[in-house]
Amino acid sequence: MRIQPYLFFDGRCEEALDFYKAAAGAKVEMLMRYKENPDRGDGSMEPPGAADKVMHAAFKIGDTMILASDGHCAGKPKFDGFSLAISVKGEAEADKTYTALAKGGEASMPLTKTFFSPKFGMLRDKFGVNWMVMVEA
Amino acid sequence: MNIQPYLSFEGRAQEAIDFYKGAVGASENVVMLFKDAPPDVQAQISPGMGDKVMHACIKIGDSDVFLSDGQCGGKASFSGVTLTINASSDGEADKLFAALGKGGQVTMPMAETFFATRFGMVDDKFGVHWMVLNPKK
Repeated sequence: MRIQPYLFFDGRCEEALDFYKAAAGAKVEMLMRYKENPDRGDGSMEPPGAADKVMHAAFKIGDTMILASDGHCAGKPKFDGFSLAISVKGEAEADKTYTALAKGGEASMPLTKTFFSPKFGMLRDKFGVNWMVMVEA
Repeated sequence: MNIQPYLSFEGRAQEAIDFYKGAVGASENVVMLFKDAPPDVQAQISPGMGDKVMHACIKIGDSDVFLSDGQCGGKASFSGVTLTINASSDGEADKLFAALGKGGQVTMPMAETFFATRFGMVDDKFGVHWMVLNPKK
């Protein structure tokens, strides 16, 4: 049994996947658009204009699979109540990952030494996803 | 590189941990309360937060999930993310779905889809969104 986070980008999923490929070395393992849905029928069940949008995608960052979708495609992704905690091997990798993920976003807590990690920081990326970046202790 | 979801329960983290132990067989790896923090960190903590959860790690199946009481704002609110839980049989999926839904709300009842023999969506009593499925092989 395993748990995977599923993120809803509300119309910006493909843009997000491209961003995470560059920022965190993400590899897209699977991507299905609304128009490719085997149960699509006449398309009346999907959001208006969503045919080319992402119904479901799976991407891997390091060893972790994350799922993503455009959901209702309203164009207003909102992420609240959670962060994704990313653990890397060394300080150089933490710096690189933090800087890349924060591009166009907001550095909520710059990378710093804490009692639990040699380097820990928090950011909100350009889509509104909150990340914690840390070096494994 | 590892990624874990980090959920903020705003004061109900311990209650959530106990709930997930019962509902999905979660086990506690780490529970650190605010009062366990080093003295220099303690100084920044508001009165009354001492017994709240600063950081916790629970294991659900093969996956680690992090929890915290965050700012202890009192009302947890989760947007833009769903946690998917992959069961290995229809019976297990149904059991997890019913348990997670206790005190919560079913948003899509369990049914067969093109990708799963059982798939359903439920919000648990804390507002965490779940997808429970037994994927088709």
